[in-house]
Amino acid sequence: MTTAEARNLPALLQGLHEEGHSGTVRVSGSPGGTIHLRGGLIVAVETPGAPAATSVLLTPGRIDDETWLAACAAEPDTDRLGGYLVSAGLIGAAELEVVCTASVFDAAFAMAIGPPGGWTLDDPEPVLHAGAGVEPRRLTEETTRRIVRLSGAWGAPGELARIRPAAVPDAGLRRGLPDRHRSVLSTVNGRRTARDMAFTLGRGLYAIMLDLTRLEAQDLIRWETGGPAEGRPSTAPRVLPGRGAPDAPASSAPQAEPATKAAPLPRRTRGGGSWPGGSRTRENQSREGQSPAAQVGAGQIGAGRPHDALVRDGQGREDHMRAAQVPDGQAREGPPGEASAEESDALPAGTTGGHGG
Amino acid sequence: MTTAVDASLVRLLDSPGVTGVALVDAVTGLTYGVAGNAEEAGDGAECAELAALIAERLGRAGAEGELESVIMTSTRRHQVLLAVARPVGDPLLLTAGMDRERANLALATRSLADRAAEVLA
Repeated sequence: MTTAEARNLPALLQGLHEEGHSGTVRVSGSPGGTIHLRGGLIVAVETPGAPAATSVLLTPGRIDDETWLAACAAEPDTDRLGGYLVSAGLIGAAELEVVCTASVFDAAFAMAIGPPGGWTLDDPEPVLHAGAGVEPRRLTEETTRRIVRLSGAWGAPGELARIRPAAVPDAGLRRGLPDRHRSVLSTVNGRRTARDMAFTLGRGLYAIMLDLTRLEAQDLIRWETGGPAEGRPSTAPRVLPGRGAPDAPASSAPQAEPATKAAPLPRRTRGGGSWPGGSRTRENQSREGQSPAAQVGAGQIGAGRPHDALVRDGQGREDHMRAAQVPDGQAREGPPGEASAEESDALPAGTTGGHGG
Repeated sequence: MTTAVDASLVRLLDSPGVTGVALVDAVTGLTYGVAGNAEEAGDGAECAELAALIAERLGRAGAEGELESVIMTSTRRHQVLLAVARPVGDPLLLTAGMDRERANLALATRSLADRAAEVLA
């Protein structure tokens, strides 16, 4: 198999592995990233979706900034920086290897929970790395395991990544909590996503998301029950004011098709069933015989535009704030179903297709 | 290619009766390195989940402090999970399988704990 024919990223990486390729794979998409290969093995993955090995070393102060800058000045070749850090006694070889390996898997996970994009191949670029590197198949299998592990009542991990949990009152006073969970609790404020916390603490995205699910299971944090569907636009048919509303029952008699034509654009809705009025409208739509997709979509929450037409009951203010806080690369719009299909076609897809040779 | 982690772990096999050791991420369950019999060392993800579950239940029961070790014993084998502290960063687990016939559990566990910190050197 040539890399040009690779049908997805895992297949591409497996092909490059078999060729013993050294180079850089730039992946577009959200969040996208850069995969560094040496001799066919993945030695580093950098993505805006998760902290890189450098951040993991610097943010918690494992190596302080001045020492780091001095090391970078002493060893300008980033490819050999790891060796320099070890020989200078700034970090143990095994510990650096642990940090770099963890970062490869974490970045791959961060890329896999977003929608995949295309890729381009480039020449090798210097990057901090340590150890032998990771075989693509192992990376794919571990990423699949992580995605399965973090799929739950909230949906796919991509949904969990958009949640902005809040701590319950007095959560920090709970006895018997490990320090790690306390530090996560200290960053939970209802505005940060898991990615924000990962960058704040200099920890892996997957580790943070796992800790969040554990804290939630212990009732130490909570997220809105409607939250998991956040960010997806509703596919419910647009209902113009006065049409399909409870005060216009007569229009529902000749079936829904004319009403759908008369209402060309879907209307974004927010808050799921939390608005009495909103749910009433959707109930009416269901009764009028709308498509099943519309009914599924009606339960979803819209993408939260500040200028959304359907702002009501004070929910609008919250929507406005939330929309303003969505960081780049986090917002994703697409019909329900499409996103999960994309996710399953991300890295995990290669478990079957990646090693055809 | 032997990595630095693998090289550190091989030294732990010197303890009598230790048949396999692995260095595992205590949070993510990712296995960083293995020496000896990987199956006897145990699956990294399962070991991490088990240790997290035990730590959580101990904490819920009112226990203070961090989990240090989990020791399981069958008629033939011991399985030991030892927490490895790091200066900063997520904790690690050293998982070890021991042959009960040959290993003195107390001595082997003590020896592993003493040398756990060296693994990251």
